[in-house]
Amino acid sequence: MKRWKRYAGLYVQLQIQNIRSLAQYRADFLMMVFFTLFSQGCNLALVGIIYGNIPKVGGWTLWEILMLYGFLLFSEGFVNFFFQGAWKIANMIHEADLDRFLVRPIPAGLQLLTARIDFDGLSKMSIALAVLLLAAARSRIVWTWAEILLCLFFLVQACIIRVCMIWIASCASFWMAGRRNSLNFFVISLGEMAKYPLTIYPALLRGIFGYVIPYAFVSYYPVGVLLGKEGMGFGAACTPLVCAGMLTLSCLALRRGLARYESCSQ
Amino acid sequence: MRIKKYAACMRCGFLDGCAYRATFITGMLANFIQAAVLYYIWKNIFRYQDSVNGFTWEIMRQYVLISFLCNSVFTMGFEMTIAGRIIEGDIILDLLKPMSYRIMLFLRMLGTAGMEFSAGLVLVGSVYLAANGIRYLSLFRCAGFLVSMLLGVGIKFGIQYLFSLLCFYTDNAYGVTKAREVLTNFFSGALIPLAMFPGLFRRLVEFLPFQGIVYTPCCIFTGMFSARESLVRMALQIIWIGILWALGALAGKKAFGVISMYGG
Repeated sequence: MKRWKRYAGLYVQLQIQNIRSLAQYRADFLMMVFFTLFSQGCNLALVGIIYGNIPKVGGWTLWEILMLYGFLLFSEGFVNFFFQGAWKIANMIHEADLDRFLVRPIPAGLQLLTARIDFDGLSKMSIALAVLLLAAARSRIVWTWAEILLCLFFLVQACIIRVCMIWIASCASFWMAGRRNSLNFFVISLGEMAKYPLTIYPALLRGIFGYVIPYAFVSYYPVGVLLGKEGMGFGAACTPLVCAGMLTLSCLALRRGLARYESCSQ
Repeated sequence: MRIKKYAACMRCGFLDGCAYRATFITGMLANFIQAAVLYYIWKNIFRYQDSVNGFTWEIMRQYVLISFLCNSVFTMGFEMTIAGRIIEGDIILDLLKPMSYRIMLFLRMLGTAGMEFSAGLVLVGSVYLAANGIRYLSLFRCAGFLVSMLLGVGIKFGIQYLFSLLCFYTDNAYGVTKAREVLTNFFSGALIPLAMFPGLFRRLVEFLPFQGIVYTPCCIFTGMFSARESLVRMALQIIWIGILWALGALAGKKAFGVISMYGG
């Protein structure tokens, strides 16, 4: 317990350092906020235009789809802001930056996670929250305390699963040569699919990005249960399991990866 | 002599494209996922109704694939590369070469686009044939599509060039690239046919150059435009290329003046 407390303290300190380092790019930060607002605006407009022409996609209405959207965007923003370091692993291995981490008396995993921060995540999370609140107010859900807690519970899990996905994909770099690792980019891009209900895709695609890469548990099942859709109960009940599984896999990936890591520096 | 110089630049771009396959493939993959999502959304929608705003499933299933092809030709852009060269100071070497900086960029891009187009064509061609067969193809429309798509590449270059000049003023090349990508994707009709935009938007889009990148070639291919309208639209594309070229020349003059602060 004491150990984890120490890690949490270290995490906060490392992140504060990151935040300080970014103060010098203030203009860039403002620009990034603008770009994010703009691109998310375009994404929302796309959904709006589709729904301007038709009432339902796969039996889901506009506000229901926006809940899926909110879950995805929030978890993405969460990764960007809190654990953006997960993206940098490939580069660190290639440049042998990892050596620096290995000689410090702090777990390498913790240092990797905090290797970078992206303030863009803040704007993404705020947009996502706004969309979620709006969608929640417009949907048929009766918001009791239990429902709100359930929603938060799912949201946290969505974030954890999302971090683990990128983490595992990035850790694949331990086994691959080369400077770039496109796997994590691929995993993130697939998130696009989870913005719409799983049922509209053919079985093969559903299997790959719904379950092998467990996007179904990030947005589809949680939102489905909240909205009271049919046949969601079992899937939603599995989310904690999936979450735990992903965490275990992430730990394994890092441990195995570090064990076979050979520095390429002089 | 000049031709030889130009050919060398194009070859260089082509080889560049081959060398950085991974970048291209990831870019194309993201686009492809987007296209797949849209394909299945529309498929689902058309199960419940025959036409949406004049589009039938027959047209839509072609549109999604063809727009992916248009969009995947030179998506990555050169903003990041240029930003890197500006920060390192290498840009001076480009500007000093006995050749217009912009023409060099354009030829290199054309070379890369050639490589990307052939790769995209193989992929889209096979998916298209698997999904649609040859029943909608017509020689005349295909030819029109190719010409219009090439003109679209010209417009794309004009826009990317303008955005790349922004990198002379900011270090945030990633943001610039993203903004350009989103803007282009949305207003070019890559995500959704422009005909489906609501009234005011629809009219706004008509006054922007983006539609020439995806919407015009796609509509020519799917036969949404009559032969006469196709020609008018192509003329419009050419006009936009001219406007963007002029704008680029003006903005370039200003941007190159800023460079001294970076050194080399």
